[in-house]
Amino acid sequence: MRIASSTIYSEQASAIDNQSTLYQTIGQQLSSGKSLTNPSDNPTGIAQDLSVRAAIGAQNTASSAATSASNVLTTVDGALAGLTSVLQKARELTVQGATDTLPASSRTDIANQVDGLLQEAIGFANTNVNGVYVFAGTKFPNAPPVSTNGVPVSSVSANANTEGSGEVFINGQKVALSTSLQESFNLNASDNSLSVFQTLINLRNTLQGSGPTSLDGTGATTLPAPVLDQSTKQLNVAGANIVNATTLGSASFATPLRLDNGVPASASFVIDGAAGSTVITVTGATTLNAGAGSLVAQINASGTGVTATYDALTQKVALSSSATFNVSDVPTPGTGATTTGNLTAFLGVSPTADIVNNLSRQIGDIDAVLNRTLNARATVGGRIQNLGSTSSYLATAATQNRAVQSGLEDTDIAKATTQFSLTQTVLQAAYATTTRLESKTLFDYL
Amino acid sequence: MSFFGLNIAGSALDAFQIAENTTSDNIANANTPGASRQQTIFSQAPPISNPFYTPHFGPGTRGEGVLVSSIQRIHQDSYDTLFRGASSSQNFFSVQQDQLNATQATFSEPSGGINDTYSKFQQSIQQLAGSPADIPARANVLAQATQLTQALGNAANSLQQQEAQVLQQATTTVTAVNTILDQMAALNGQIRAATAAGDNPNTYKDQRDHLIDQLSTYLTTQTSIQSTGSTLVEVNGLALVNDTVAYHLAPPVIGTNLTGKQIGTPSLKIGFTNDPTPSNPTNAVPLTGGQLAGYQDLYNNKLVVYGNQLDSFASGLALEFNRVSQAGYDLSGVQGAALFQPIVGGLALAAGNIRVGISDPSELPAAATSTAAGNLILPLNSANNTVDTSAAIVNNASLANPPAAAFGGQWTVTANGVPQVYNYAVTATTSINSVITGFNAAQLGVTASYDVTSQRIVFARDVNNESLGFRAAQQAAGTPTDPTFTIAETGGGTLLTNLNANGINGVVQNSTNALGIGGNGEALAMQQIFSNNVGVPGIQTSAPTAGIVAGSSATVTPGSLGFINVGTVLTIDAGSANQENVTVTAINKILGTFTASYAKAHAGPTITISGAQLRTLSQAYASTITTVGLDAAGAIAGNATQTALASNIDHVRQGIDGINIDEEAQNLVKFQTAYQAAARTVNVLDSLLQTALGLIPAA
Repeated sequence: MRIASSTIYSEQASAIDNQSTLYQTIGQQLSSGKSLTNPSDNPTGIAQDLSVRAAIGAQNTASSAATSASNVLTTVDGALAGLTSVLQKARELTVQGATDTLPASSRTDIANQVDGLLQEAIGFANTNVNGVYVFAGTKFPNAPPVSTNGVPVSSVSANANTEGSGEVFINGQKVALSTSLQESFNLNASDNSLSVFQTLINLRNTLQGSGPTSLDGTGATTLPAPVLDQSTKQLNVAGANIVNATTLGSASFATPLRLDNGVPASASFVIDGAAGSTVITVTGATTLNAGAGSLVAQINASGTGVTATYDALTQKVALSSSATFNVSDVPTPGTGATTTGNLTAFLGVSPTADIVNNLSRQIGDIDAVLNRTLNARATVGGRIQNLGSTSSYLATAATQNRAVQSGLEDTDIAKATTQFSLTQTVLQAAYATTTRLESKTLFDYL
Repeated sequence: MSFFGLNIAGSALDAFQIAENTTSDNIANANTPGASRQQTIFSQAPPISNPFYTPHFGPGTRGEGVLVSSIQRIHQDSYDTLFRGASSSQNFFSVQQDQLNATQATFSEPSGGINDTYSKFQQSIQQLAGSPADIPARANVLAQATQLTQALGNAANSLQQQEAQVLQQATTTVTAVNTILDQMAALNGQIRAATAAGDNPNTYKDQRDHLIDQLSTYLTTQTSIQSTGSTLVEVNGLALVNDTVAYHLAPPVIGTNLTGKQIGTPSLKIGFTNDPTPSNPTNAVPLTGGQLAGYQDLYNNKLVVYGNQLDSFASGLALEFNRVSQAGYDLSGVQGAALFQPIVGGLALAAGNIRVGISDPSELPAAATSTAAGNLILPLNSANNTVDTSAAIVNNASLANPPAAAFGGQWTVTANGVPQVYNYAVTATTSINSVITGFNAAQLGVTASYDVTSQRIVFARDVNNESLGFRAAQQAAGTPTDPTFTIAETGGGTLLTNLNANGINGVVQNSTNALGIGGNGEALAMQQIFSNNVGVPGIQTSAPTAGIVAGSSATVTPGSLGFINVGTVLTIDAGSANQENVTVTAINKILGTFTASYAKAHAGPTITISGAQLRTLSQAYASTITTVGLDAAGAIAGNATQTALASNIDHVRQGIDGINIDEEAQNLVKFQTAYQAAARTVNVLDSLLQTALGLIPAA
């Protein structure tokens, strides 16, 4: 085959150029460790590579969020563990206090201890992590959620909503970083049951006994008069649920209301309180606590200083007053009735205050809020465990994605090294060949 | 024996000297581009033949020496055509490879480009959702959003610079083309004159062919040799050089497409200098190969398209995030501003015209309206009961207000000032869960959920849960995105009461019901955008129509074409029974119309048009990068293939007409030897003649 002299040169130059380019490319791949440095290096894989890179970034952020969240939840768990101890201690103290032979001074000491526990509980409610109050909800997470009213504390106010104070979005799931005040302290409960704080306040007040008492011994600070809660009895038949609108003639009541034979059939009792004495009359159609004519409403409107509440959680009616009072059944006036009703038995009230019974009842209150707290702890524990497995999952997923990224981007060192050596050999051969080809022509022999 | 013998040897001396000169010329031009080897063609001198002269001295006819009949240019025109075709292709891909490598560098993917900033923006939102009240987390979102907008702006500006650069390179190339055309016209004149005079203008032909070779690197040419010897050079039927007349190309301009499927879109055009509308040539040069076609394709089909795709991405990004940010509340309980805004107001928001519209971290909206924040909704359980949300609600004793029997009703849900009717039916099996699922599926901009702790139903503003139909209704009503919402019982039902949510009946839920600085509803909504399929480009518009018949192709005129291009998929009449996705097959930016084929009928007087929600923002961007990568890889592969092809053809061509030094060395020796033999013959003949002359006695 005939070949032009210039072709020999251009062929050699072109071959050396191509080999040099390949040499440089493979060299760069080896030195950088990356074979995907431009979209054109792998156009069909670049979309997956971009997606994997974004996924790794998101997983790292989520993993970091999971770790931070776990730390916050551990703090929350610590606070709830503290609260659990407080409530268990309160329960022990209540049992101690509910001993007939205990002198009043000892009960006052116990009351002071309970007041300390109350302060501790308030402290746990105001736990904060990095300036964020974990039980404060979302509205004002940078302010203590619980503030106290009165000295000594007569009630607490909540500056929080029912949301967790923070949440992270991990792996498509929202993870709350806290439990709400309602959930852990039973504050503003949907069933109107007592909060941790009110339970402790009631307990302290009961232990304090009647009459003005100096808490700190100076006489400057006066505790409110003790609440004489005289209800001892759960109203419902086992399995039945008495609600506010339940009528007194309902079969749900364990002790049926005995009505006299007047028209209409009714029953009455006298409440003799510090502010006065009043006769309360009800019929079988009267509701327990729904509307103005209900039994509870009538007692509260009686002007005797006695307050009635119905606690649906415990299914009990509580009568309380700042002073002692007396309740007794009477024939219903003005209806020609001759028999006496059984309203006091119906409600389970006894005519005099009974601190021991009262404290015994409050053990139930403590157990109720303790249950709430333990439930909240279980929830938090579950979340911490969940975050742990989420972290593991994210770490695994990120590792897998890095493997995919590596497969797409990284140089196959073994293959590239072989190619590099091969190219180097070829290039050396090309140099040698070119030098020899170009050094000889027929003119050398003329 | 006569003096004629000396003539014979003399003719050989002449001929071989000419042959040596030809060889010398070949050697001199061994490295001259375009030079073909030349060959001296010998022929026997005819015997002397004349009626009055009898040349016959013996048994045969003797020749009268040698003649140089011609100096022949060895050239195979057919290989020229092949080579020029391959060379045009090679140069087309070569300029594309060079430019697209720069374009790839612009995007800087997979590391350090827009994808990285987008990913970091996503991570910052993720952190915000975890710490919505945290100022550093908020500042980080704004910083990462700013990085993203800057990356978009840089890429858009770089693409524009590359477009300008391509235009400049095309202009320079046109100048080079015009110079070649002038040279060819001049050579045509010289070749024609020499041919007419009976000469064989080998060198001129070499130069002409070489110029055509050069021209073919710039554009695809067709050539034909005229009878006069001059060459007609055309580009797809339009003459560039006809005899001695050169038809100059005008510098390229950015005109608009006047025909085809993309009327009115910008187009790099090259016309002739005599075009009647030089600013937008009507008779543009049809370019199919060579550098000029490469530049034109780069501008029209690559860089502009990438820019459009980037703009579409930016518009989709802004539309989605702005809807969320405007539906949220900031740390002060003030409605959020649009997160992404145009740099130059009044111009469409695009990759090169986008900035972060919020500068104060505390003004970043992260909270949403939610009835969980207020007290208008009460626990729905009856006393001392925990509600099983999967249980039927009719006569459910664990509910405070259970319905006594099945019933139907409707809620009017008003978000962004647009009332939407939600019809519900409470059957014997309807549970709280199914109420929530059904309501959420209606996509009314409000999402319901159940809070187990407080046993309350919760309604929250959720812009991600808005159907395209609802969006279209908002667009028609002209109301901006708004965080408030109202739910009213308007059909005589009691479902709100049954859910103990009657407190919100008809009451506008607003900032009072935002969860405050710890609320992360909108941060979560923003986070959700990253995994949602969204419209790219972000389009929400409508167009008047007298009605579109099912199965027809129709052209409509929306208020603005926005980033609608050929190939864009649009959702028509979203939310209606006739909702469908159509692909734009043609646009006319002069008339503001687009054409598509519709499978369903669409009644007038208007249709709504939305960007079809087919992929995530990230996928849309990756698609652009894939396109860039495929284009660049195609150019690299094309360049390599066509370079090899052109090189191979050239080698074959050079094998025929190229100069080989060794061959010329052989010729040199061959002709030298022959010349020496002829000279020795002269010497011998002269000796013979002298011998003969010696027989003559001296006078």
